[in-house]
Formats: sequence, structure tokens, C-alpha cells
Amino acid sequence: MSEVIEKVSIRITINGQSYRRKVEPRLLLVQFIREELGLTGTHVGCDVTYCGACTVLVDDKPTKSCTLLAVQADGCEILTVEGLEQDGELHPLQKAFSENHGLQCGYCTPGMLMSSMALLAEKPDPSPAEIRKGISGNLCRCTGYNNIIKSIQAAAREMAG
Amino acid sequence: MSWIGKSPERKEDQRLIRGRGLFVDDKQSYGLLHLHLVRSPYAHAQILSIDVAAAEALPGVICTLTGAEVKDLMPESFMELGPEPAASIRDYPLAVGKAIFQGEPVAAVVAETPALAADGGALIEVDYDMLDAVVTAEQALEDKDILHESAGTNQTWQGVYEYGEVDKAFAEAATVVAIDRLHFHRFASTPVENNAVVAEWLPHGDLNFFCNNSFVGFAQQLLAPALGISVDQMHIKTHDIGGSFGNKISNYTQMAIAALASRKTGGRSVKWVETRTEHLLSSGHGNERTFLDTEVALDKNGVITAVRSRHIDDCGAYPRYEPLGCVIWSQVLPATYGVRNFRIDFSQAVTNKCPAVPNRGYSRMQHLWFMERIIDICAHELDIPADEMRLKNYITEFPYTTPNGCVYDSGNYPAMLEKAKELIGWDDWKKKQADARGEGRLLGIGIGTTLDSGTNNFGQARIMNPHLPFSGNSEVATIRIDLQGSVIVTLGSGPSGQSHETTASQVVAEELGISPDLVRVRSGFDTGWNTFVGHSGSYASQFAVTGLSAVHGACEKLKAEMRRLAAFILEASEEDLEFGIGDEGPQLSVKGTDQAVNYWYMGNLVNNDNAVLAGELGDVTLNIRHVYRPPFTVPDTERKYGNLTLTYAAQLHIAVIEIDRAFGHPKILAYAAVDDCGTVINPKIVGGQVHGATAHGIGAAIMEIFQYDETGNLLTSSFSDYCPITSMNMPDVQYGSIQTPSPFSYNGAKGMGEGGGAPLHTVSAAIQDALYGEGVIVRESHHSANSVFALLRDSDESTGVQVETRQ
Amino acid sequence: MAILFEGEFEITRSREETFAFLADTQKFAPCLPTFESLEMEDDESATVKIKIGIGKIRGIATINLVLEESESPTRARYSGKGSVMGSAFNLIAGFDLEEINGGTLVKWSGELKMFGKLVALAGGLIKPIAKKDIKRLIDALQKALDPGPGGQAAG
Repeated sequence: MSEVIEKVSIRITINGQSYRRKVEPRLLLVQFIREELGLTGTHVGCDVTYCGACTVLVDDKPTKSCTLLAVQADGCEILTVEGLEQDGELHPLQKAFSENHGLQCGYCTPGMLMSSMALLAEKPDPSPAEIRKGISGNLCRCTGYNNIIKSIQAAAREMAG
Repeated sequence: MSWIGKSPERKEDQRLIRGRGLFVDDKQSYGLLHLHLVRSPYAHAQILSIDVAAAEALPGVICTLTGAEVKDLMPESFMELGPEPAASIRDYPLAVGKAIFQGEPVAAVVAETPALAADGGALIEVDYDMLDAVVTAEQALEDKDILHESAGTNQTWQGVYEYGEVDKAFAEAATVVAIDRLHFHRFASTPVENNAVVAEWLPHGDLNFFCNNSFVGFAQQLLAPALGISVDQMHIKTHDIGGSFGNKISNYTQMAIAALASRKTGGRSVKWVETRTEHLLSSGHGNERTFLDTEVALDKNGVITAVRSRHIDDCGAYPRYEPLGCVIWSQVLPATYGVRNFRIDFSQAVTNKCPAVPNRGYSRMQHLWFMERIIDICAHELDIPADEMRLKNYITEFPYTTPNGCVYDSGNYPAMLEKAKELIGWDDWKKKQADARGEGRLLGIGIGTTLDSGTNNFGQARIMNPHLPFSGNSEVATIRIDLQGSVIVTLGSGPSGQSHETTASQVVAEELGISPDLVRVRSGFDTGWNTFVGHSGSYASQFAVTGLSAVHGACEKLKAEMRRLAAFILEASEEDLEFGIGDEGPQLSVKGTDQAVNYWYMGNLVNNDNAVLAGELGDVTLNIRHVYRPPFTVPDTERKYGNLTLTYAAQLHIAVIEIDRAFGHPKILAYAAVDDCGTVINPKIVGGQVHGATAHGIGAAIMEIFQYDETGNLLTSSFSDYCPITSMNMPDVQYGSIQTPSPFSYNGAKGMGEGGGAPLHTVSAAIQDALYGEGVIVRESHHSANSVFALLRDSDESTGVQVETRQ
Repeated sequence: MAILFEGEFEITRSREETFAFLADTQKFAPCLPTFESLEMEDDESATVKIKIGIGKIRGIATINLVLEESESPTRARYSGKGSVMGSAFNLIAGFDLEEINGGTLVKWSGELKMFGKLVALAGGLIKPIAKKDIKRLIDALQKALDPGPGGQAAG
């Protein structure tokens, strides 16, 4: 508690950019992303890995960044919501969420998008049941999920060409 | 083209889908400090001492605050809305002398990082002397253990609502149904973003807040006197708010702690971000209501003629806003039914639980659930099908004046029932149900009809406390053509996901004959814009009426100025001008000619080049502020009579539920929701609100509950225990709508979004129907597998319902 | 959340000796399971530290232990008030002593009430853990009071 905590040096790649920082061992990955790097698109909504607002991709795996220490992500490649748009072009998931009213307040949206990314990478043509399972770790209080499911289906169609 | 009834791209989405919104916790600044709150583990305890020495000695800790200190710093405690004796309750943002609910803040630590602030908090030693906890309202009303000595009683409000000839109706009744006890449980909509604030109280007196309060018009009136500052010295801003659902109306108490902490640091910025456990423990729960000794009089046709009952609200530790809930339910006194005779004895009590706050469907939903239970229990006892029972009792003539003087503007409940039946496939499910029953399976079909009363008349506050200086309602919008000819709109509503930027731009586009993408609507709320009144905020299902009427009124004034200006520039008569878009952007043109003046020219003329203007145009600024006020009068507080809300959106839901006999698990097999909110401005947004409200209601009905033990421990204080509804539990909703335009709004729209708690009524009804023949009456609103299992297990016990047939 | 507990055990030691042990905070407190340290505030009260752990949640609980009743040689009763990790607990532990077969029958009873975060986080786990810890306390007392080899109650 009051003892001096030795900082640990880590290197993490986020959205293609490599960062080297010395951090306290107790620093959560989400705090690292938000507070150290100022990437505030990744949100915090609970303390128990339930809400998924903090979901990012760590080495392509959807991960709740509130339940991982920054030091545990040393050497990893991370994708956050800010990395979805490429060359000024929104990702099909981002477009589909907007077109299908898959977001209202937008607080859960970044985490929801990242879980959807992982889902579509694994299952490019998911059934509604698979979509529900894919986003079951992401809480949304505004939409009632129906439009989010539609958004993911629309993005899957778009990505299939 | 018309922009009303369309779903253009949402303006808000551009930033939100990129993760570029600006929520309170996203705000960073140089030298920002962080606040941590130390909370009482006890529900009820004297605070004997607080030792902050070790915390203050920790490197990185800037200062601490205790309740005693806060009491000295605040000129007065927060205003309580209730009348005496509740008005005597002392309400400070940190507990003073005594903690009265688990999680109540007792001390604060300010430090350089959030982690150091939490470390400091762990070093604060508080010595408590535990007292007995009062955990139910009925127990509280016995006044054995008094929570607030200054009030001398736990009862915070009591009044009788009596209309018509109740005793006569009971004397003449063909049947009287008595229900001993119904109970509506505690839950909240728990927005995914927690409460948060950044406060900066500068040494020269100005106080800046960046916060996520969703009713700033009200919060500033509570904060200013308590902090000893003028309203104008407080600069309050919001930007993106991650949901509120009413819950964030009450975070002004935490705003005050952050402000006082900033002052103690000499004016540095102090950020406070609530954790989820803190949110669930202490930031506000929806109110819990118990309905006792209910009696229902019916005529020989199954038409309800009178209801008498005793209702008790449990408002938790501090009444704050909550005594308003003792009146707000009466906006929907008869629900959707033509009952004319009522006697409701209503009281409210404080308990050692988290304070209650407004929550989506606030106070009306509890009453509507009660009325729907009455309908279904009577139908069950009299062996009348639930749909027929409703058709016998629905109000069918509009506008309809209720027994307490409210005016239902429009509606068509039988048409909604018909539509919902069609969507769900009623006849088919009825057949399947007969088959299921034949196999001994428990399959139920339930209907819930509900109202979402919107645009409240604050005069109803005087029914609760005649001394309150509130009545009517209002909202503000500004619109201007700036010096580059852009159309800029600001709103007083401070939305939290309801798409106000988008719908406001649709109204402006419609009025000016342009497109929504040419209208810039500023995000959030800012007292610095001068776009607020005391009623400004997002609550009580009203933006489509109050907010958009303000936008519409501002557009009309702007158009009048623009016509005068354009007539001067084009040397034409005002009648010959038309609004539209030309080659050089938005413009006014002379009908049938190629003569036109665009917005840039007009904006520049007024703001940069005004010497060429004629003297009589000296008052033209193209900068309009408009306040919309609904046509309300002050209710008769003695009779508790008057028009309490302007519009009545309606929802009708049908659910098909199968109950697992072994485990009690209720599985939703099909779900339909029909909505009527009058003229729809944006179908996508209305649909989104309907789905969202449906999810909250289903979550509350089958999963979510704030469960306290007998010593006042909250047992569901993390999301893992509270279990908000996820994609795995939310059914596909068959959604439909009808439109009965409101005669009371300029655009025919009715406020909507709260949804009236329809799924709670519907799920209770379906479970009742599923357990038909099991000797069970559904008397609770919470239907987790556990509680349904208990219903089945205890089915041989009394149902608490008695029927007396006289004719 | 409240946990009630009671039971009895028989020992060969005399009632006076048993009482002298149980009513002596300095002897009684070290029998608490996961005992760490004891600091006497005055004759009747002490600050006792014990380790508490439920799964990964671990911490040191500070208990203010007070000898509330002491009626030689029949009855001793402690009350304790503790806090750990933002949570609090209150406990009562009482001993009624009866002479039996030349030895002593110790009837023990108590109550543990928990408040706060730990209850919410680990509510379902606390009862079995508390029961186990109470058994360990009683076992430790029995062992300490046993005058045979290894007994520690000689003083």
C-alpha cells in the first residue's frame, strides 16, 4: 500500500503503433490504454468482467481489458476501436451499427464492435444464436440487443461481398 | 421532401462509432486530481470517530474530507422536496454523525492518481457503533427505529387519493375481489456508464462542472444554495452521457463532494468516477412499492367499478426527489381502464437502503403493474379470458378526463391489442397452449397494457408539498444563422442516448426546407449557452413535445426574421418568399423567379456588414432563443385534481412464456410489442427506444433485483450478482406501431421512451397464465427461476385472494 | 448476514482453571484461527489482528476485542468489532461453565454478523468458512485447556 512500488517496463503495440512505458504492476490494461495513451474509446462499465465495455483485441482475441494487467499484455498486439477505421474508411461493422441503429448512447459500442470483430473473424456468417453468444459478454442498456444483432448480420453480409 | 417520419443518419453516430465520444471519464487535464469515497459497510451505524491522519500522511494524497467538515463548509444541507416532517431531514453528501445505508459515503480522499486515492481511503479508520437496520417500508412505518432524528418519524409522506363514490360502488358491486398484498421489487436501469464528474471550484468563486447529470435544470437549483453559490457562478456542462434512464438525475450529491474537495485543494480540478459496485450500492435504486388490502368492485359483466387500496413506497435512506413519486403515479390513476371510483391511501417511508431515484417508468410503472395485476387476477378469478377482460374495461373515447382530472389525449387500445395478437400469432399460440396443458407443461400467454405519460406538469409537486415553487413545464432551444451562414442549434435537454441532435435537425430541416446535414446541433448541455430553464433535462418522456416544440418555435421566429431580411435584400414582398436549397446552399427565393439570397449573405449582413441594413431591421439578429411552455394550470392540491401530463403514449405487449416445472425457469418463447406515441418523428429512433425499454422491463421481470438481507447488506452489489439482461436473455421482439396523433402537441407527437414498464406487467401476466390451475396467484413483480420455483413449491398455501359474489 | 453458532465440550480441568483461561484475553485471543498479533488496550480490551482469506481475496482484519462479561467461575463473554477491506463484522462469543464429573462442561455460543463488500462478493462462501473457523477455534481452545501432554494451559 504505502510501500514504494517498483515500476515495470513494458512494450505494447496498439493499433499498429508501438509504445514503451514503465508502469506500476497493478495498472490495468484498460487504464494503460485510456490514461497512459489517451485512447478513451475503450470504456469501463463494471469491475467484474461482466459488461464488456472495455473489450479490446489482444493478439486477435477479444479480451476484457479491465481484467488484465498492463504488464500481462507486455509484447502483445492490441486493437482498439480507434484502430477500426482505415484510411478514412469506416469498418463495415461501424457502418452497419450506424445504419441499423445498433447504438444509442454509444458507451458500450466500442466493446461491442471489438467482440463483433472477433466473432466475424471466427464465423464470417454467424447465425443469430451465434451472434447472441458472441456478444453475450457485452452489456448494452439502450438498444435491447435486437438492432445490434441486425447490425452484425448486415456487416457479415457486407464483408462477404 | 418532408423530414418528419424519416430516419436520416444519426448525427451522434459519427463520433460514437469511432470511439470519439466525450464521456466524463474521458476528460483529462494537466494536474487533474482524483477523488475516492470511503463508504459505510453498515446499513445503520453511529459514526464514533474518523481518523484521517494516516491517509493524509500518504505521499500523493492532497487532502481528505469528512462529513463533519462538509457540514461546516455547506451553508445548508440539500433541500428535501417533501413537506414537514420530511423537510427537516438533514441531507449532506457525506454522512454526518450517522450512516444510514450500506455504501453511504462517510469520507473522501483526494490524491494525484485514482490508485493513490484508493490507497488513502484504505488508511482512513472509521469507528462505528452498529444500530438495528430497518429494511422494509412496513417495518419503517412502525417507527421503532428512527432513521432521521430531526424528522422524528420514518414516514415521509401520506395522503389519500379519493375520487367518485367508492363506498357506493362497493355496495352495488356484483363481485368484490380482495387481494391481501402485492409487491413491486427494487431494481434500476443501471446505465453502462457510471456516475462521474470533474469539478473545479476556482478561488475567485466560479465553479465549473463537467458531469453526466441528466436533469441539470433541477440539479443546479439544489446545488447552488447547498454550496452557497449563485446559479450563475456555476458553469455546468455535459457532453456524451452513457445512458441515464433517470438514474443520473440524482448524482448532484456526488457533484457537491467533488466541488468541496476541489475548493479544499485551492481550486484544482478533481475528478470522481464511480465504480460499478459503488453505483449499485449507493447511487440510486428504482422505488419499491407494496400494495396492501386491495379491494376491487366489479359489475355483473366483469367491468371494474371501483378500487380501494393502501400503497407504501420505500424510498430508501434519503427522500430527496422521491416524495414526487407519491404523486407522479396518479398521472395514470385508472391506467388504460374506465374505472371512475378510487380510494388509494398512499404513504412513503425511509429505510436503511440505498436512496430511491427516478428510474425509467418512474412511479407510474409501479401503479400500472398494480392495475394490470388487478385486471389479470380478477379475470382469473371470474374466469374471463385476459384479452376480453381488457376489452371490457379499456377507455375508448378520447380525449378522456380521468377521475383525478388528467386528460388522456388520444389512443386506441383495442387496435393495439389486435395488432399485438397478429404479431405474436395469438390463435396459434392458444392452440399450442392447449396442447401443452394437455401434456402437463406450463405455458402462459400474458398481455400488458401500459401508458407512458409524458411532459409532466410540475404543479403536481404541490399536491405533495403545497409550498414548492414549481408548476408547469418548459424547455428551451436556440437557433441562429452564424456569420458564415451555418445553422446552429443548441438544446436544453442534455440527452443521454436519445438522439436529440438528430431529431432536432429533422425539425429544423423540415421548417427551413433544407436537409438535416446542413443543421449543426451542438452536443450535450452547457449553462454557458443560455439554453436552459429550471425544467431543462431529459426525463419524463417529453423531448418530442417540449424539446422539439422549443426547436419549432425557435424556427418560426427565425423564419420571420429571415423573411423580413430577405424581403429587404431582394426588394420583394414577404409573402412571395420561399425557403429552400439553391445552387449556393440554403436560401430564400422569390417564388417563380431566379432571385434568391443565401444564408451566408444574410448571416454576413447581420453580423459583419450591417451599415447597409435599413433602420427598421435593427432588431434582426438571426439569433433566436425560444422557450416552449405547455398549456398547464396549477392543480387543485386539496382535491388532488388537475391535468398532470400533456401526452399519453401507450404500449401493448404480449409474451408467451414456458416455465420449467423442475427448476422454475421462465423461458420467453415469443414476444410482441406495439407502440403508440402519436406522430412518429423518426421511426428508427422510436423503435430503438421501444426495444430498449422492453429490455429493461424483461431484465427487471426475470433477472434484476436489489436484494437486501435482514441487516441491510445489499447482496446484489456487483453485476455478477445483479445480472443485467444480456443478449442471451433478450428475446426477438415482434415490433409494431399505430399512430394516434396527439391533439395537444404542434406535431401530433407524444413523448416516449420510458415505456411504462410494459414487460413487467406482461411477464407477470404470462406467468400467472402459465401457472393457471396450479392454485397460484402472482403477487410479486420479480420472476427469477428461484421465485417462480417458490411459487410452485408453495402453491398449496393461500393465494391471498378472496372473491365475494353478491349477485 | 448473521451466523449463529453453539455447542459444548467437556474437559477434565476444573471450572476455576477453565474460567481463568477463557476470561484472559491474552490467552483466549491467540486461539483465534489465523491469529497474527495482540495488543492489550486495557485489562478488558485488546486489538487483535487475524488473517482473513476467501479465495483470492485476502487481508488482515483488525478486531477490537472486549471482555464484556466476566462472572467467575461461570461465565465469560467477549464482543468483537472488526474491519477488513471496506467490510465490517461484529462477533459475540460466550462461555458458560458447569461442573461435571469433576471436570468442566463448556457451553459455547456466539454470533457473527458480516457487513459490506465481502458479504456481497463472497456471501455464499462465508458461512462454510466461518463454520470451519469456529470449529478451529473450539478445537484450539479444547487443546489449550487439555492438561495432558502438549496442553498449553498450565499457566
